[in-house]
Amino acid sequence: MTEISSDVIRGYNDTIILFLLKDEPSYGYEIQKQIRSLSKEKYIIKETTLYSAFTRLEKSGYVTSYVDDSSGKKRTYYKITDEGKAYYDSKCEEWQLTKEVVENFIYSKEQTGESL
Amino acid sequence: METIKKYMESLFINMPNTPEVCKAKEHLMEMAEDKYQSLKEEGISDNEAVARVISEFGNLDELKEELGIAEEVIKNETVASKREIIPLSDVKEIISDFSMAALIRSLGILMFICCVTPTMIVNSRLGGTLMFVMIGLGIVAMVVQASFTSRWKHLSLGKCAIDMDTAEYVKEERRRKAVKNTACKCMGIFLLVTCFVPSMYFRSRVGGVSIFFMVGLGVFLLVYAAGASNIYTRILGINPQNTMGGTYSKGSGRVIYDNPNVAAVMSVYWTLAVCVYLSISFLTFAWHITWIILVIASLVQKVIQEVYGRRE
Repeated sequence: MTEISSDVIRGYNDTIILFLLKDEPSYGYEIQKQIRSLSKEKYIIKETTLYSAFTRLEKSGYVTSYVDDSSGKKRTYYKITDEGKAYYDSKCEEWQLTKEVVENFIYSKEQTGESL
Repeated sequence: METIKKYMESLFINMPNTPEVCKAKEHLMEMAEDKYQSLKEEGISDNEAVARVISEFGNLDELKEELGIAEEVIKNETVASKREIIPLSDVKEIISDFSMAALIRSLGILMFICCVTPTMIVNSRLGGTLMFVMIGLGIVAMVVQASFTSRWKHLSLGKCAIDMDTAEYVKEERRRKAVKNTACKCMGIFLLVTCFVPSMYFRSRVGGVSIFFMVGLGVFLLVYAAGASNIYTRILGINPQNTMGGTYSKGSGRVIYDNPNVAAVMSVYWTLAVCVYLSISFLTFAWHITWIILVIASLVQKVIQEVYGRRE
């Protein structure tokens, strides 16, 4: 089975995370679990990737973080900002365009009916 | 959970010790712990949970850019990655070898200090012979003690490191030996301070001989205690201080000096103080008052620690 290349998806980690934060604040493990299930176990994001994305997003002002230990566990939650929402929208548009462009050059088995 | 912690420590051992890295480590640990506990709550076995956390953890290369430490890590790693982790079994051997060396070394010094006493007790020929025998034994002791430590020479060349487990073991060992060590030091100082007392009661040779023996024993105890405790500090200080591995010696209560000159002086401080004390005492034979030098030395040490040092 082909595995997803981390180089390719890297540019979209931020988009994926912002999507999951869109409705409510969330924390590391929860986001990781959601990515796993929404991608049907095809993409398992690494802790370090996640942390580096959080740091980057926070630095750019797209998310803010706060610590919540009301559940007994100390957890860092991330909350999307208005800039983050705008950034997410622009990334979505960018993806549509990327997809459109790249698709023109992708050889698909279904289209030709041949197998390699 | 222990396995995960150890895994994290080993990942971070060569990372520079900066606030960003500490924060990242703390944060990643928090995430890993959360994940581990959640997996267990979901009914996954301990082994499997640990395996999943570790296999899905990723590697720190990704963080290097994020934390703006790429350059430093590269610099560190050219030195640090070549560092060989000393296995715990070796560390145990090192401790026993250096303790043995300290014991033999102090016995040698005892021989040197007491070597004049035979000439004060017995007739000149036998006394002279005994004196040279003692000097000879002292020299033999110095050679033998060096052979114990020479096989570990590479330790101080900055090619080795210890992991967290070993650091914990060394700290525990030091705690265990602390009472014995302090007792040795106190006894040593006590002997040095009171060595003139017998000569006040016994005017003759006995008084003179007892001074040498008590000074000898006192120095023996001090040198032994210092040598034996020094090895723990040395092992704990082996990891480069600018990396996360350097934080393993934390909580050891050791006083560190940022100023290299002060650090150099302080490393030989007590040897120096005892030398000054003995020189002045033997020159003036004012033993009844010179012990005050040791008290002053102890006070001066406290002052220097307050001004230049900081506790780990």
